[in-house]
Amino acid sequence: MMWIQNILTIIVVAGALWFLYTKFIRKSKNNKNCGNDGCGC
Amino acid sequence: MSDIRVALIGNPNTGKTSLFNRLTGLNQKVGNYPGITVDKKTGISKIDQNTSAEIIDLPGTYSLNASSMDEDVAVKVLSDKNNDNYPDLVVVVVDIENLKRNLFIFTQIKDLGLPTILAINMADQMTLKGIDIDIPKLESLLETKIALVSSKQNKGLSYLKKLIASYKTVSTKPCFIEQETVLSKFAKDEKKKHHLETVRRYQFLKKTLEKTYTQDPQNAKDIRTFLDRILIHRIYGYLIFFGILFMVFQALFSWSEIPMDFIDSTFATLSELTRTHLPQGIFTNLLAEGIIPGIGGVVIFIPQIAFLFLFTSFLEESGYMSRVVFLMDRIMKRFGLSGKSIVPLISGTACAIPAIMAARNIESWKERLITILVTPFTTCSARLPVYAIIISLIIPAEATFLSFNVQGLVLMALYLLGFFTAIIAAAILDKVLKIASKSYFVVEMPNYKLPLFKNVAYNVIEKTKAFVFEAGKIILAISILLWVLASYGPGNEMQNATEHIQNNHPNYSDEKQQTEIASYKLEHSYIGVMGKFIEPVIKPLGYDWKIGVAVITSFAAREVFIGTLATIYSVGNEQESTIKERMRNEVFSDTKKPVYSFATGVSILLFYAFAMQCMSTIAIVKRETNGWKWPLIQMFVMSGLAYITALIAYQTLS
Repeated sequence: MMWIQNILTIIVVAGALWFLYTKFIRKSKNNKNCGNDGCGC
Repeated sequence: MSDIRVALIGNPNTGKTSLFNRLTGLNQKVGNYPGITVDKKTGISKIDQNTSAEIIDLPGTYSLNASSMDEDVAVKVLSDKNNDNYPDLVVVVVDIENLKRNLFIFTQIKDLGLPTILAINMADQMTLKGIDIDIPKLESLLETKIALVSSKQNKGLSYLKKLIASYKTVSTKPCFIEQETVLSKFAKDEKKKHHLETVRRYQFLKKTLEKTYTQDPQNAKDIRTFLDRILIHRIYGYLIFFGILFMVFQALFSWSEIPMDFIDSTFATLSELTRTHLPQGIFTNLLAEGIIPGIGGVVIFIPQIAFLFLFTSFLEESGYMSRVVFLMDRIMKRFGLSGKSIVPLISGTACAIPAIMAARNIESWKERLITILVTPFTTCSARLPVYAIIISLIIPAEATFLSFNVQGLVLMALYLLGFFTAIIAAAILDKVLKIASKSYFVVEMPNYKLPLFKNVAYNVIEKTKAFVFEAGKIILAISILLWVLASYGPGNEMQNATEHIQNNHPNYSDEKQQTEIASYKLEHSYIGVMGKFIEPVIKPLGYDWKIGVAVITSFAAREVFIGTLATIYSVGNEQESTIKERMRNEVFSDTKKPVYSFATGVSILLFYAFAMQCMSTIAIVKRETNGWKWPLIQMFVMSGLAYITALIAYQTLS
């Protein structure tokens, strides 16, 4: 059962890292509706 | 896919948004951080059995002269056929009591050759105010179709929908264009021509309304005049405003105490249940020590945020907020700000990001820049969680001053501190910045009305949702990472923690040994190493390394501060306790004195009152000022001020 817990933890932590990366580091692509659809730019 | 695209436009406070809500119900889409419009809302309205219309709520604007961002947006949407939002029909919303001023923009839109209809709102006031309108005559003079509506009483909407459905038959003839040739003769230069055109448009409207609009002045002497005399009075006006603020903050603390305590204890129990009922392992620890306290750190502030927006929405909807804007303009002018600056400053109590964007309708660049630079001083909702928990730790709930709750008084004082700091900073910037500019202030005084429950509810739900889902996601993600950083560390120190404590403190009881082991592990985790690294800088402020870590992580967003501490104090702590209890029991490892003493508490409150702890605000200032110069100056000045005031406060009080 330990391996399931390890995999779940890795998935959750990777998800959190990816979310923070997209939110604060990665530049969002400019599209003409940017700013109106919560695209994060 | 909708069949008709309808643009809803009108002056501010004409009930445009209420009409939009009535037409679209819950089928709305709201832009988070507007790029094209200051605040763009779209929604779908069922017009009849077979037709649906996409309604675009354009920003409230007085004219199409494109002198502010709001107007610029409206011009772009209405004049450019290739614009994605170019409408099939324009509905101009006007207030029955301010027809002359409200119709100005109508005549400009008609000039664009778009099918345009007129929705005269607040028609329910007609009888009460003794107003009579000759609708057929007005329709013929303005070359349009008119619907008398009352968004408050949900009247006239079916007729309006009927007009929308038959938009192809609506006249596209202008009602004023013939004046153009006359104007060209008189004025050569563009500015004079513009001025003359405004005068002629108003002359046209005056003549039109003289033929179609009558009002019995006897009935017009209503409660509005009486209330205005008191609410915008030079002395009573301010007293009443501060009285209302005072009551709001008192209620904010006392009403939200019970739901907050309930949420706090529920999440503590949930953590404990997870730990005891799920199989032991790393993921269970992540759930019990990272995810659940992380979510709890967001959910706990829902009651206070919801109450704050309930009060502000109620004041806005009732028409009182416009009186506050007018009242504050007298103060604002003395500090180099525009009367329009009060809108960003007041909306800054929700969030600095939309507030800074709201500064776009300030025409003067100098006033706009000053407003952008000082708005982050106003107390945003992200500071509320920090203030709420620190105040409840350093001031007893039962403490009263002149029979008023001291916690509420301190919270109000912090809001006032933010506001007055913004004003003083504006005055300094006004002297320092050498930018020549000029601006005018116009504010619409809407009628007083009983707030529509639906509008207040929409506002409260929307703003609370934004906090939970926008800030909440960041807090949760950071909580998860913090758990990793607090659960693992460099070298073998963490693995040898049990051995180390048992060898050094063999006489400690089992419980004490467990606490010492948890503390030792945390101190040697990655987060502990980071905290220890910055400890020399923050120690003079009265903070230990754990608070230091929270200060670093909350640079992403202020509300992360409490979530961080909740996670740090949860790691390795197997007792069921609330965030508040854990913070209250926290002691300095060397002196064993409580960390959250009065002096440290005040130091934290002042630090968060002044520090620019918000990455999104920095990003938005960069975008609005078109460069890194101003956001960087703003960040260094605000952080410096925060550090110095926190330092002075702690050193004086400790």
